[in-house]
Amino acid sequence: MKTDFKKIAKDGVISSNPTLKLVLGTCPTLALTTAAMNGIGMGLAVTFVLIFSNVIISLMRKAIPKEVRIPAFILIIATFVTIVRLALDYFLPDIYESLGLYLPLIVVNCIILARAESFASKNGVLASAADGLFMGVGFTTALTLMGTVREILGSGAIFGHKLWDFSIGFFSSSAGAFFTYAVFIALFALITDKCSEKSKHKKANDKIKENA
Amino acid sequence: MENNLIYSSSPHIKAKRTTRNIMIDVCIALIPATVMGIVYFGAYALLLVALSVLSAVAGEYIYLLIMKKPLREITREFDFSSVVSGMLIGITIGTNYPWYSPIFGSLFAVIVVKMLFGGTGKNVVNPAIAGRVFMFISFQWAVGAWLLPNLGSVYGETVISSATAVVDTSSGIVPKLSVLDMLLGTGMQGCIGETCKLALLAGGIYLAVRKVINLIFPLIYIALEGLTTVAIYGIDFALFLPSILSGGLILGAIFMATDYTTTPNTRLGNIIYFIALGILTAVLRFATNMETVSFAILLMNLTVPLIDKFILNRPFGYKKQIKTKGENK
Amino acid sequence: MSFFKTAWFKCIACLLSIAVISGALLAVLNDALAVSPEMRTMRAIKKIYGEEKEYSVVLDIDSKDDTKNTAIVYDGVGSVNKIYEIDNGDILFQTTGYEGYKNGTITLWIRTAKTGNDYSIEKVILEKYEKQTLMSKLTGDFYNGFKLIDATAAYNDGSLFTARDKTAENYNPVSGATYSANAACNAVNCVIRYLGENGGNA
Repeated sequence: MKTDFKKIAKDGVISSNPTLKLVLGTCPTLALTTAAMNGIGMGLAVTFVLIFSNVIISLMRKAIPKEVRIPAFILIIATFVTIVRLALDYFLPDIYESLGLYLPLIVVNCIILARAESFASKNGVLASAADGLFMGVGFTTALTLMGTVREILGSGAIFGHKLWDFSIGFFSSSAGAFFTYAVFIALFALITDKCSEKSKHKKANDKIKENA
Repeated sequence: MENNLIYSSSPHIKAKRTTRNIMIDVCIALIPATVMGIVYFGAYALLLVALSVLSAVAGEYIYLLIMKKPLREITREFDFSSVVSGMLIGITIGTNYPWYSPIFGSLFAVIVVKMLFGGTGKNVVNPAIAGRVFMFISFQWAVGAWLLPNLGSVYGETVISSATAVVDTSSGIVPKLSVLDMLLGTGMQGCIGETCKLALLAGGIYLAVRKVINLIFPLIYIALEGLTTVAIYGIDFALFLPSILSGGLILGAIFMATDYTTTPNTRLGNIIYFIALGILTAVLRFATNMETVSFAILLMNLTVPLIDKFILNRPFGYKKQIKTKGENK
Repeated sequence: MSFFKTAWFKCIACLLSIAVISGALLAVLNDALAVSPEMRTMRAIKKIYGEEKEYSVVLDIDSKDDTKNTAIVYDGVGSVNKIYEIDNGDILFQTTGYEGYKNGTITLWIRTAKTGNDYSIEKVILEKYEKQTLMSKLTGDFYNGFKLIDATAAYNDGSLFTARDKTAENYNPVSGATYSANAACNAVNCVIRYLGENGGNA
């Protein structure tokens, strides 16, 4: 079965964007979008864990019995999360501190478990790796965009540099997190629906021209 | 072609009361409190209230225009509910807030809390309360100090911030202002509209006379809050009057907690709701040394669907079954 | 032989093998990527000075040396956890201030410089805190307010830092977070007291 990498990529970033379409992994999304830098840090950590856990699980998919697949997945994911923790504490302590409690929480991040269960345990290694990569990219992009908006509105800064004194504290709070998240999901649905409508119209027009 | 026919299902009884009339009554009831607030706090208070009302109305218009409703229809169907929300939001902030805060508060309250959930009568929480909490969270940095807790004027300490000791326990708990001062609001710290209790009570009596609200329920709320505060501080009845006359309690009880949409449907439900409100406000005030009327109302608004689920209204025409002895099946 | 084909054996074998391999891998990496207390101190120094510096340990509660690892506790005020002498003559303190919000604590790194016989407080940064909820109110300006030209003189005058007393000379308040500001002041006061009592030598 030939793997369609384009489809995997499109699914991961746009049509099945884990944060904005599948609404998975909301806990880090809500907590770590107070600043754009946190979003990038968390996104990169999750991408790393996604790729490697997907690869290992895909390699072992014939060997793991069906009955214990969830515990096995969690063991593998936990291993990689611990590796990421140790590496971040050693090499990038600033990001480690800003991620705080949410770094070990990546183990139960729904995105990783969901992709392991639904994709990696059924597809080949290369496809799983690509899926992990693009899902991670989708997650990181969503988090960074939300983080930028919340940071600009909530603390008047961007990537840590203060822009102006004005800020609306609501957007830095958890209520603002939910609100921004909801607005992003709505806008994303609006944009993707309009784009898919346009492409459907275009395809229909092309077909008409072909047959004419 | 415009449709000039109205069709609906029975009962076809028409009354003179419309939403617009009720809302205009509430606006009139709020005028004394607003005027006293402007008298105490100056022209800046007038600016805040004006900006708040204008933003609230603008918010409603903008939302309906985005939803592609024609301008004439919006104006024809305009019920003054957004004006009421605007006025309430304007008088629940203090004059230490920056001038743009009521704009954001009103827009948030009207667009997000009211219009997004379906418009008048479908708001999930009281929009004025939500707007006030929004401004409270958002603009603390500009205010510079926490909004001075009004209970500070009860407990006799000059309060700089809410974390410093508010209760002066060395000489017992002594209110700093006399009860008359608190009733009239002279020399009291607080939001624009909440200091002159007399004006608020006058507005409340007007609303009760016009049958807009049932005054029993706000009174239950106020009384329960006072009694709970008395109980918390060791059954000291001297605290009853000061505690109900300080803070935004009377403003919240009369004008915000009685919003039609966010109170239960049944009488028993309402009694439970307002008793719970009173106890919650007093307990939260004691625990956090902050003005918690708005937060208590917000929390209780969220429990109204629960209360309505368990305390059901009697259906129209329902007769209670009388069980007779010896009846089988 | 059929025993080895039963489902539950396969399950347990699979889980155990994953656990053992992961465990071994993580044990190796844990040693390789461990961050020692010295490295943490060096990170704090980098934050304060902007570069790494040599230092010698006078007192360090994380140290293995029993003569140097008891904290100096001032009752009701705070404790001095670490004292390092930096190679340029500065002394770096890590102190914990008590009496914070809900009896919590705030731990600060305080850099002092020696001019003649007097010590001055140059820079204060936050290390960690317990039970405080309004740490965001303690801004850079607040920490800059701890700069003091002559700490030993402050000790002799009795003019310690306070967040409560408006009339005090060294009044550094934070509106809305008085308890936390108090704990931070206590942490700095530990340094002033230590310098005052042991002034001249470290």
